[in-house]
Amino acid sequence: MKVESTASGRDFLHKIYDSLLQIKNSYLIAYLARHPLYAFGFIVMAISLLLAIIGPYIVPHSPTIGVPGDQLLPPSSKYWFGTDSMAMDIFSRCIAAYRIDLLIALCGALLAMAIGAPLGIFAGYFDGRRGGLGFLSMLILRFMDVLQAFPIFVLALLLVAAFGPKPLNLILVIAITNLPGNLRLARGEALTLRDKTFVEAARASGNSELRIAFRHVMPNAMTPVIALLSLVMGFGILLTAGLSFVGAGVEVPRPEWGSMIALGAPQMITGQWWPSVFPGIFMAVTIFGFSMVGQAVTALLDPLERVRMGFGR
Amino acid sequence: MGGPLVSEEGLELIRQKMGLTGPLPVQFVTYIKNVFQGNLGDSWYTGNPVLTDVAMRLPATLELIILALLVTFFILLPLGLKSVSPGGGLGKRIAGRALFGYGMAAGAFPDFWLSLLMVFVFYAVLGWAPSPTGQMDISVLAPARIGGMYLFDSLLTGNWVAFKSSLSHLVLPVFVLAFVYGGAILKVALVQSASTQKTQFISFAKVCALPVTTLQSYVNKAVYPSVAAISAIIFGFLIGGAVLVESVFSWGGFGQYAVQAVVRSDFAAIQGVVLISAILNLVIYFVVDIVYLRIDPRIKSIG
Repeated sequence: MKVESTASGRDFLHKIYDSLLQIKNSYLIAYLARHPLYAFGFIVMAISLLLAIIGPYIVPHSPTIGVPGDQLLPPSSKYWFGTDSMAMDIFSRCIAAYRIDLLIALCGALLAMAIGAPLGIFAGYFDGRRGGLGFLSMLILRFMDVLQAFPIFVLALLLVAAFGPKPLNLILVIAITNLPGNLRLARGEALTLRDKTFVEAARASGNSELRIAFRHVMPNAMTPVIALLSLVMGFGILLTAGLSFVGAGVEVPRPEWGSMIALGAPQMITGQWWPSVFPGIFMAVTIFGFSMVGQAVTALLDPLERVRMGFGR
Repeated sequence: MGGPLVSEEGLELIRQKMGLTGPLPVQFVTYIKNVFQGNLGDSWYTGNPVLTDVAMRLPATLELIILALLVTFFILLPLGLKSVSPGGGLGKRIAGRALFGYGMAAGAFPDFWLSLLMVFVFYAVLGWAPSPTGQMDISVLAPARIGGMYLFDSLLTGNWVAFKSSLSHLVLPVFVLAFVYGGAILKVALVQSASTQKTQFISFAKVCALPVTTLQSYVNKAVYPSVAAISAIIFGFLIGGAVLVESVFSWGGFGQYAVQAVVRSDFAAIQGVVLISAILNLVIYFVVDIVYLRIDPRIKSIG
């Protein structure tokens, strides 16, 4: 692509057109065009992130304050999704809930990865060795066994009971419940990679074992862990919503899909379906989008897939 | 627990009764000794031994999980695998893609939301399902207790009234569990089926002009190990994880008991629940290991 140095408007437009063409012909776009379901997932994720940032500013009604007397109104042109038993607009709350749910899920997933991946690489690389590091690696694994022996929801509830139902603690809860999964995934990759020739070469070049583990093995092992990130976000949203449903998550006026469903649950039997149904639809679509992105990322990072699509070098 | 006016001697008495005196290591050893004798302590909230509480709650949950898995294995999986198996026309391919999409989407539905939706549609609107107030109609007496699962107990004792009532209450929660978690199992099966069909031995079988039904049986057999693995994970998860569905249907299950124990700081119950969950998980994985040995001839057992 030629870089023009003149400042004329036409050349600028040409540059924009060339960039867009490069994007259009890129591997990512070609892959998404082939798999419309994954493209849908990416769009959902992009919209979710956008709403998490600007959501509370663009909602038509207040997501935390209701107009007294407007309880349980069915969907109308004024309240698009109707109102709940506390007279709050459901549509505004559904949109505003993105911020809290996504923030908690994202931070929780990143924390799980930040702690679990390095520990997993360590556990996998030094697995079975004699001496201090091998023993430490075994200890980490046993600790994960103990953690995984707890039923997940009970563990989450115990942690919330111990720390308190604040959003920050929910991030910790999601991180801890997803820690073993991240750790075992990274460990599996490290176990496979530590017998490869490049590790031997690094050892022959005089690298210390620790340096090999984190400077050479870890970057190659991160692929499935990163793909797991969006899946963990999906689980995080489900867990947060589940905890809020039993009352152990986010406090009531704050818009969160699970607590909205819990708030609207008693009205389902009497026929007012809108307080509970709409948050659930938002949840399902968002989580589905995230899991699609996770699957797409797994395939996109696979070099063989690149070759199969015709983008190999 | 002793009330606001209890004296110091009263508190001491309560402490002794609950076994809270003595150094911690001694308390731990006592607890382990008791576990081996089948004594998991007493729940301070219900007053019952924890084992009794669990014996009442666990079968209810197991009933849900077993029935949901049966529905998955005998209805969902055969349909799914048939639709993606080799051979067949356009209608079958469309069904296959639809089921694939369902498999991907199923895990995204919050199970408590789906339960509420089902209650709304089938109870509030259509009136087909009974009210979500537990395992049986309030007016019907529970059948004679054999295992604790009302459906099987009533079947084995010939109690048709209880059987019908139990069955009608089971339909919705089992459907929800099968839809959400059976969908996850279906997805694993479909992915495994698709990847098996690309292998060389299937291509060879096609070239040998083997009948389509034989091809299908070959592909399906290759799917069994992954299905066994994911089913074990889901079974273990649902023992405590079905709590939300149990709550909506007032089922009185194990997960509900665990959650209530946490909310009420009922330590004996919490310990009992975690211990039982861990043991059950171990048993399930052990069983799956045995199943693996039987169904995968490539794995050689010791001796």
